[in-house]
Amino acid sequence: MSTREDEVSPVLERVKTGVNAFDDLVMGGLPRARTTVVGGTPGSGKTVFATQFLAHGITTFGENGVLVTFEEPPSDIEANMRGFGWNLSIWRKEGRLAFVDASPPSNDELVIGDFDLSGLLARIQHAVKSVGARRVVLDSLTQLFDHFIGDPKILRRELFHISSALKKTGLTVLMTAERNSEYGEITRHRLEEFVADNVVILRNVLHREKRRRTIEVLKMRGSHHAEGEAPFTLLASQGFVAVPLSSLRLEQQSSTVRVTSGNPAIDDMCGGGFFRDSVTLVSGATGTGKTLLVTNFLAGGVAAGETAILFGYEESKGQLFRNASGWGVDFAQMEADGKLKIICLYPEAQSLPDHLLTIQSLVDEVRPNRIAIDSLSALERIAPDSGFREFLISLTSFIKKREIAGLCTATSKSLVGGASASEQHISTLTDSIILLRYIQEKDVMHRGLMVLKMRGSEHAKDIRRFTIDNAGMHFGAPFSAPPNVFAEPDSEYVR
Amino acid sequence: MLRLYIAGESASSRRAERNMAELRSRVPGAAWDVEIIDVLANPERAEQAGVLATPTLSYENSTRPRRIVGDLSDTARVLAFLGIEPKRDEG
Repeated sequence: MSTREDEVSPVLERVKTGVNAFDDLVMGGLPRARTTVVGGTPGSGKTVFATQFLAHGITTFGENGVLVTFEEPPSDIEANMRGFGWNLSIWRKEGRLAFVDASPPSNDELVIGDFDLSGLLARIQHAVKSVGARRVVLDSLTQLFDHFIGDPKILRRELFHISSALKKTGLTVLMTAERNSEYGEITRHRLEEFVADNVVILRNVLHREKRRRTIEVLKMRGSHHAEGEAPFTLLASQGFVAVPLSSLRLEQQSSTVRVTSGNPAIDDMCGGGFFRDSVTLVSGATGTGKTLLVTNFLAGGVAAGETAILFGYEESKGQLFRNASGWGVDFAQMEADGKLKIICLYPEAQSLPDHLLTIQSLVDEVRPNRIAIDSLSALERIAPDSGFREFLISLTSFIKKREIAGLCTATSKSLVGGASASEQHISTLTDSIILLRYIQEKDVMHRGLMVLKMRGSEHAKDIRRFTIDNAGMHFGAPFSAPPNVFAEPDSEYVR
Repeated sequence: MLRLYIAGESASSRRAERNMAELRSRVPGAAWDVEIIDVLANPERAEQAGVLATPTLSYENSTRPRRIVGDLSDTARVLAFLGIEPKRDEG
C-alpha cells in the first residue's frame, strides 16, 4: 500500500528538524505533510530524535507539537528529556505541546472481534486542535503492535488510515519503530511499507569495542537525499547532533593571505608561509620533530599577534610545556596572556564524533587564528576506518570554513620512509603536506624535511637537512644524494 | 457500570452496539446500565479513559477493571470475561 502522490503539491515544503546536519542530509528538512518512519534498535536514540523534532519546532520555528507516547507515560518522558535541556512540562503548560498518553493500560484487556483505532485518531486530532499543532510524533509504533499482538492486519490498515488523516490536515508526522537488528529487516512488522513516505534509520553498532552511532536516510519519496550512514552523537543539553559529512559542499573561500609557519626557513620553502585558511599535514616517524614544528607554529602565531589553540592527544599539558620551554618557548606565559589555549585529552576519553564536537565548540568559543592537532594518529587509534575518514573530512572542512590556519600531525609507522594510514586518508584533504624523515647518509642518520605538496603555490622541491637543539630547528644544506623518502627501508637496498 | 466507547457510525461500532443490546435483552442477569460514548463527538472522554481502539467496552469495577476491544461478536467470551455465567435453567 502506498500514499497517493497526486494529493501533494509539486514543490515539497521543508520542515526543519532542528538537527542541523540532518537537515542537510535531507536537503533542508523533512517534507511537510508527509510521514517519516524512524527505525532503530532499542537504545539507538529514536525517542530523542523524535522529541528534538518537536522541541525545535516549538522553540525555534514556532510550530507546536503533539507527542503520542505508546511506551512511557508523559511524566517519564518529561523527566527523561530534561537532561537534554528540553522542558516539556513548561511547553505543555504554555499550550505549545500536548501529550496523548497511549501507554499500556494497567487493567485487563481482551480483543473480541473487529475493531478500529478511531479512539486514538480522535484523541490525536483533539490534541492537535487544542494546541494548534503542525508536528506530530508517534513513539513507538512497535509498542502498539505488541499491545494488539494478535491483529497486525487491522493495525496496518488503521495506521495507514491515521497517517493519511493526519497528512490531509497538513501535519508533518514522525513515527518511530523498533528494529530487531542493525542490518536486517527495516522495522519489525514491516511498518514502513504501508505508512512511510520517508524512512530514516538510526544505528548503534558495536565496532572494535566502540559504539558507533549513525543515521541513514533510506528513502525519501519524491525527493533527493544524501546516501549512506552519517555519524551522530547524543549530547547532554543539546540532544541529537549529527556530524555533517558527505553533504558538505566545498564552499570555503580560498585566501591568498600567508601566515608564518613559525620557522622562516620553512616559510621560504613554502613560498612565503602557509595560506591563512589552509590545513597542513606534518608527517613523520617518532622523534623527527613533529611536536617541535607544532610548537613553532603556535609560537609564531602568537608572536604575530594571533590567538592559537592546540589539541594534544599524545602528551599531557605538563609534558608539552616542558618540551616547549626546552626549545625556548614559554607556553605558560602565552596561556596566561590569553593568546594560547591548550587542551589535552586521551583519545579514548570519548568517541570520535564527540572529539570533533569538542574541537568545534572550543574553536567557536575561543575564536583562534590558528589551530594545531597533535596527533591525528592518536585519534585514528580509537576509530573504525570509515569513521576516521569521515572525521577528517569534517575536521578539515570545519577548519577551512572558519578561515583559520590548521596544522595536524601524523606519525608514520616505520622509522624510515613509508606512509601511515592517516597520511593516505588525509593527503587529498589537506592543502599542504610536510614530510619529516630520518635519512641515512653513509653511517650517519640525519633528519630531513621536504614540502611534498602546497596547493596553489610554488614550493621548494628539495629535501633539506635539519638539526634540532635547544633553540629549535636549524636547516642545513640539501642532501646531495638522498634516498627515496617514500620507500620502505628494505626496498631501498634493492635499488 | 459499563461504558461502551464507539466511533460514530462505523461498521464495527454499530455491530458492537447491536451485540450489546442483544446481550442485555436475551441473557438473563445481563440487563446492565450501559453508557455509550462516541469518541468522535467527545474525544476528551477517550483521552480521560485512555481508549485507543473502538469499540471498547469498559467494565469499571473497583477491584478488577477490565476492557474488551472489538465488536463483541463472541457473546460467550464477553460474558465469561465480564464474570457473568448465563443461567441455563431460567428463561
